Amino acid sequence: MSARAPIRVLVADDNEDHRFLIVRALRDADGLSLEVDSVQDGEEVLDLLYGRGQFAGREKPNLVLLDLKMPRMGGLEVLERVKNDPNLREIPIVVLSSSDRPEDVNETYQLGGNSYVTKPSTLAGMRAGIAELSNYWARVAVLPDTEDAG
Amino acid sequence: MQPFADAIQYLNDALFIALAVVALRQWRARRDEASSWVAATFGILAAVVMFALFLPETGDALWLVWTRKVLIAFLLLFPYTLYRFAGSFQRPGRAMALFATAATGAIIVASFVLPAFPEPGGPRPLWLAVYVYLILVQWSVLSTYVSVQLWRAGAGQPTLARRRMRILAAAAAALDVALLLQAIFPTNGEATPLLIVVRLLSTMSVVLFFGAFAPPALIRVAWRRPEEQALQQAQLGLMAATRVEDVVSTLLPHGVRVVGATSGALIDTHGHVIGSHGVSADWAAAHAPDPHAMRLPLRQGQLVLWTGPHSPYFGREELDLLTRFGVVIDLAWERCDLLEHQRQTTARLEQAQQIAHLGAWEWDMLTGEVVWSDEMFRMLEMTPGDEIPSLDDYLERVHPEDRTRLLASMDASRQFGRPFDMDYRFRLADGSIRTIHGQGHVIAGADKAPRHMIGTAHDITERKMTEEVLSAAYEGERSARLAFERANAELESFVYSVSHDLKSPIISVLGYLDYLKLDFGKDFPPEAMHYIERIASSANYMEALIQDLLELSRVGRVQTERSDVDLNALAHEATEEATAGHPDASVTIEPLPVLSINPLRARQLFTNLIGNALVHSGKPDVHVRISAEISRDGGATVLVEDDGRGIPEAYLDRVFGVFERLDSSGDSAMGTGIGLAICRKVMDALGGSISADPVESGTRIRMRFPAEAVRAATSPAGATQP
Repeated sequence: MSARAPIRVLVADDNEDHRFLIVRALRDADGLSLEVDSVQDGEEVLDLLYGRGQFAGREKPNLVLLDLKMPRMGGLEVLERVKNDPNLREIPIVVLSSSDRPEDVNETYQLGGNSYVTKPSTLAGMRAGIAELSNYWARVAVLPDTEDAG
Repeated sequence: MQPFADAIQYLNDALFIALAVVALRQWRARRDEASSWVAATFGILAAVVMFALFLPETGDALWLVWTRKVLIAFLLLFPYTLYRFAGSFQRPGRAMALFATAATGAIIVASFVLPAFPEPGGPRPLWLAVYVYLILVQWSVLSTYVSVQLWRAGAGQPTLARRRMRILAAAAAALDVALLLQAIFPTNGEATPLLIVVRLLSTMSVVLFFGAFAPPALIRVAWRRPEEQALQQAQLGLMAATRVEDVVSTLLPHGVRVVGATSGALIDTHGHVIGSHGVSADWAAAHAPDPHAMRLPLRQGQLVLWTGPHSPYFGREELDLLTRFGVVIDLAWERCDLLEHQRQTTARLEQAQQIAHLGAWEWDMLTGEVVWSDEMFRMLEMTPGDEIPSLDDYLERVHPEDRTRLLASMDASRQFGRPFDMDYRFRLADGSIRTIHGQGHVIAGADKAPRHMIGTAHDITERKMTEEVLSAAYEGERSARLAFERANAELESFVYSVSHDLKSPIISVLGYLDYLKLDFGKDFPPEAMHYIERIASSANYMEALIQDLLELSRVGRVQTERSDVDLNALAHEATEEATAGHPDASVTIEPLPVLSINPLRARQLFTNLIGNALVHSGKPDVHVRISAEISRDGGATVLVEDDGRGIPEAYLDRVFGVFERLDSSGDSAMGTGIGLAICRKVMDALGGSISADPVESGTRIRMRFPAEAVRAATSPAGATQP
């Protein structure tokens, strides 16, 4: 497999601490050239994907790590809008939530979510989980070309 | 003149003889003291008359003189025997008895001792005057005594007896007068007017004696009429009597009067006095066995009458009359008993109806006539005997919503003879509404068409109200249960939300702690590192607590799918996991059943129970034994036992509550105190139960799985794990 362009990962979490831990775990992941961006609610996710407001001109991410419970706009609504937009629906969205409610899991997949992962409660678990996650999406999975789609 | 006088004499003689015959016949029939004295009286009289007929008027032959003396002595016995007759009913006083015997004896002796009586018309010596005077005294005293006694005794006797006794008294008096006249004015047989008067008096006396002792049937019937009328009246009264007491009050006064008794009583076979007349019931009960009392046996007891001493002699026919009357008394008495029985039955029925609030009615559909039982009135707050409302008035008070139905039902009964059965509401006079359950069935008339309808009306207002209250109570209970379930669901959802929100900060705390150690750990003094470790330990404990709370809420909240789980395998896996940190502990697993259960929940059960045994036993080399048995109903009991320090008896149930922990350590390694609560919830959801047995040492947790959860009693034998 040839060298690839750096993977752009968008982390959406309203909890600043969690955002910090996830972003750091992604950056610490060995051997991956990831460009990590983060936003704090669903509105910002959509703004970024559509290149609106402060995010005008930003490149679209190759992967979104989406929290479910966020102010202004929750993760499930973001999921629904993105997966209903032909221009955005190829972008893989991985829900990363502290909820393990079956309802949340089911709805995520019904709305077209690509994966559902519960937030590990320990740092070690978080680091390992994120490493695995980013490794899969950056190395194993073949991602669509978001630039072409946009 | 002479032939007339002689004719009267002959008539008298014949009458005396006839009277003697009647008296003798009566004596033969009765053979009692009174009739024997009567027979003696008139036998003597007849004998004297007959001898006198054949004796020559004159002559002084010795045999003639003595025969005359004997005849005189005999004649002198006449007043005495009459006196004895009267005395046989009521004993005379001692003075009277002494006088009678002495005077009679004296003159009889004198009759023989004295010289021959001089010829009539000749001179009368003094001794003769004294003798005649003595005779007069004896004769008149005794005759007067008899007359007075009988006259007096007649008072209070029935008409026939009274008349007979009074006639007897008059006869004795007439004879007395006749003899007195003859003695005072002796005649020599010439037909003087005086002689004729004397002889007529004698005739009258004999006729009267006849009337007294043997009254002709015609006279008897005439005399007895008042008594017969009274008895007929009584008989009519008896037919109208409805109670035995009525029989007593109707009959006794007449019965007593008819036989000339002083008092009477009606006594049943048990000796109980039903009623009495003239005396108290107590007196009657005490004197019923008196030998002088007259008893009339009845089918159900007896009529006892206390009569005067003369009644059996003079009132014999009335007694016979009363005996015949006994049949009527029996009938009346029996009828009263039947009526009484009917009354009691009716009363009982009424009472039963009253207790049951059950009214009865009867309706003649042809005439429209309606009959109600007393309870029917009472049920509708009316008074028994009130006028029964007309059908229209009745329907007017039936609830409008029920009226049409009631009318239709009644029409169906009237036309087709259908039974009637429905509930309807009825408005009472005070406006309150009662619910009535009406039932009725039709009785066909002779033409097979519905004619009568009889039925019941039952006040079921209370029952209806109770039903309504009960159904309201059921409804209340149901809504309370729903509210409780809703509240429970809300609470679980709340617990879930809270625990979920608590998870976020814990993740942050633990994350930063790790980075703190990772990035700056080498610069920290050991004491700072210790603090960090303490923070991390507390945060971990809190994390475990939240995880368990989430789990607990999930057990109730989330429907889980079941599959067949081999507890043997599961127990081994859980044991392996749990004993990792406890190298000295040992676990024995005996053959366990295969259950239909959610695998995750089953694992929770064993992980929690084995973990608890290892952690809380208080010794590192604790031994745990897991065993199972199948109970008779097909359910499975699984025991998890250890030989640790055990659970105090007071805590045997409390340990299954949330946060119930026997040690207060905040160390996450010791568990969160939620494990057994999760186990209980899992078992409850399965329809089973979990409890801690009171054992002498160690702990024994008992889980009961219902029969429907048991798939197989055993699977390949378990093994001991170190």
